[in-house]
Amino acid sequence: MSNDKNSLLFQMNNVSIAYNTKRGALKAVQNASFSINERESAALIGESGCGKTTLATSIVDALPNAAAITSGEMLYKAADGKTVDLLKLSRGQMRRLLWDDISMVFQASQSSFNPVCKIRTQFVDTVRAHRKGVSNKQIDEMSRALLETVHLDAEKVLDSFPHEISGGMKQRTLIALSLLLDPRLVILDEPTTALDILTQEKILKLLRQLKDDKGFSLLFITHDLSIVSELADKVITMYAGIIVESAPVKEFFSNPKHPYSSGLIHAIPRLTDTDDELFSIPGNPPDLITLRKGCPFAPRCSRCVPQCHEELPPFEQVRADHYCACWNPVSEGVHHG
Amino acid sequence: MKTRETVLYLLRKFAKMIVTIWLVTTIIFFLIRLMPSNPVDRYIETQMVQYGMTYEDAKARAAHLFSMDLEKPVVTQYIDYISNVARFDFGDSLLTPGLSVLEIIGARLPWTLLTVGLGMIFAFIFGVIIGAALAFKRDKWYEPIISGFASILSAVPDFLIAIFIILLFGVFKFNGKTLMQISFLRGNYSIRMKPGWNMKFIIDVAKHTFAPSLTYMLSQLGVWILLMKGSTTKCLNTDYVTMAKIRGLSSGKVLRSYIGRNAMLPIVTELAMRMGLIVSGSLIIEQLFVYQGIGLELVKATNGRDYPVMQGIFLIMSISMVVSNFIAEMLYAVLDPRIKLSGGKQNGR
Ligand SMILES: Nc1ncnc2c1ncn2[C@@H]1O[C@H](COP(=O)(O)OP(=O)(O)OP(=O)(O)O)[C@@H](O)[C@H]1O
Ligand code: SF4
Ligand SMILES: [Mg+2]
Repeated sequence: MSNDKNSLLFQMNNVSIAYNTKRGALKAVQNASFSINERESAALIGESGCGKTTLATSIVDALPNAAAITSGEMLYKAADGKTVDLLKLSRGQMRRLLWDDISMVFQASQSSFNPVCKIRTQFVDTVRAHRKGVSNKQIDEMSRALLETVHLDAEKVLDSFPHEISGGMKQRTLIALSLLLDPRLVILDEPTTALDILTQEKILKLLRQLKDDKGFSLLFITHDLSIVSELADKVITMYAGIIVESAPVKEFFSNPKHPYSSGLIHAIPRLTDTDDELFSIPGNPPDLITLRKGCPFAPRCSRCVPQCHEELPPFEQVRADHYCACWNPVSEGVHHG
Repeated sequence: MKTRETVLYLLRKFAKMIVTIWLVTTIIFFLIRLMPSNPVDRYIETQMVQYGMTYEDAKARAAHLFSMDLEKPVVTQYIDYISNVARFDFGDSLLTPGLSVLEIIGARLPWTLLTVGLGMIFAFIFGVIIGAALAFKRDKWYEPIISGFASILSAVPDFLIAIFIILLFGVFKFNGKTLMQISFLRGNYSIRMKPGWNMKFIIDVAKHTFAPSLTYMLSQLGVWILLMKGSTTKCLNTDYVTMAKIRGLSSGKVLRSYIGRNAMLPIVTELAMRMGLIVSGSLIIEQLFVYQGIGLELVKATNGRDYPVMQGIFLIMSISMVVSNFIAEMLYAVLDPRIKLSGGKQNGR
């Protein structure tokens, strides 16, 4: 099989992104490197404001005007087997790749639909932008099938204006829309935040199933580690604009290397915990404009060594498929000190 | 289902418009009649003092001119007045006896609609184009310059613009010649011209229309530029536009269906609303260019205390405001699906 799990689909190398702000350059992403294989599902986690959305939107060329990619490359292996750097594509080439190959659902997806057009029109527009000679009836059938898989009343949704459907329905409609052209990489920024627990469960199950059926790769952002354990093959941890760890999901939970990852895992309340004391990481993330030298996590880190204040730790391989940026990684079996 | 709702909505809005017009008409009736030293009494007094008429004669004359019977109780007068207005009968002019107010309005209003209307349409077209272009060129060096110019333009009073236009086209000499003969800067058409549907007359009218139209256009242009720039900028930053781009839609499609439609929504309704301001917008410009339109007529009527004409023009002004508001509301309902047809209020985004 050509698209087995180990063939590389997308690889980001040393990407840095800065926002131009009144106070100066805000380094939202620094030297980010990670990869996603075909049919792989990667979770991007980290505290609010650490740069997850910025990193994800940079892939689909949708950064706000104030943001600029200052360095790096984004290698994408196209369907024809050729590898291209997304950052070097012309606007037209990129336009053809978008949605057909790479689709994305925004974090604040509530206003992602044109308020003056029916949902149907927006499905039709999407197909028309990429496929010639598809009849409206065919588009209707495609849309309906997808909307039904996300448990929506397809006919009603297609005939509605965006303001006529609920927030959760909108989010599911967007998930359906993101799959409309059978993309190879789907990016979902907090896909289930507007949903109640039951719907959330259903959607997760569905995503897992759709991913297996259709064979797309997934990059999703979440704050919920239970979703990570359910849906991810790989976990990418970000802290203050830096990817600090990238690990296979099992290893992430059983043997996290970075003290921050370890801290996140231990911050989850567990029903089985005997002591009801919840471990939380003291302190706050640093300001991304006035970053000091050294490891940005140092002020909050319990494993901090003198070197941490001097030099940024390199993002290095610690095991197979497992990378970490830390001078004093958590040792095997020990969780947090 | 939807159609029934829409029809009901239209009917409700229409009823509201009729009620507003009725209210305005009534207010004008009582303003003119019940104020101390009201125009009718003033007229009677003047006639008695200046022409030595008896009170009865003066009153009879006033009653005729104001097309009301002053002997009747106010209620009857009011009913007569309303039924006259409903038939567009506003009485006769005091200054030019024998001419009805409606005839005067009928003769003057088209000229105003021509000059001010043209000025408004061009201000709208240029404003929308320039404003939209500026929204796209927000990081260019010339954007703040043009936007600043638009702000200044929108703040300059129209008489200053008129004076500038008169100086530029009729006074300053370029290579020993003014840009236009000064006679084209006064009046509706040249004195020797015989009105008629021939090319010569039309060209003459066009030349006379140019300066007042240009003045009105310039006085409105800044506002349209700023409105359109603001509206487009707001749309450019919305999630649905970003989303449309991510979906790989062509930039033309995004511009038309996603940015254009949403950005034009408030602009088009604003245009409909401003249509109602044509008459009041003509006041100063028509004076400066001695342009025989409804605005100049109102000034003349005010100076000559020609109350029936004033009343008629005020009525036309108010009614056109109310009607254009109604049209604006209709347009909004048609163009924006978020308008709740039941309450007529816009949903939040
Ligand atoms: N348009 C912008 N202009 C300036 N700074 C921005 C802009 N958008 C985001 N930032 C900054 O960039 C940093 C990263 O933001 P980003 O939205 O990527 O965070 P995030 O990890 O997605 O957070 P969350 O979990 O809350 O969604 C933040 O510090 C934020 O303040
Ligand atoms: S580099 Fe040092 S401060 Fe940073 S996470 Fe590792 S141990 Fe902690
Ligand atoms: Mg985010």
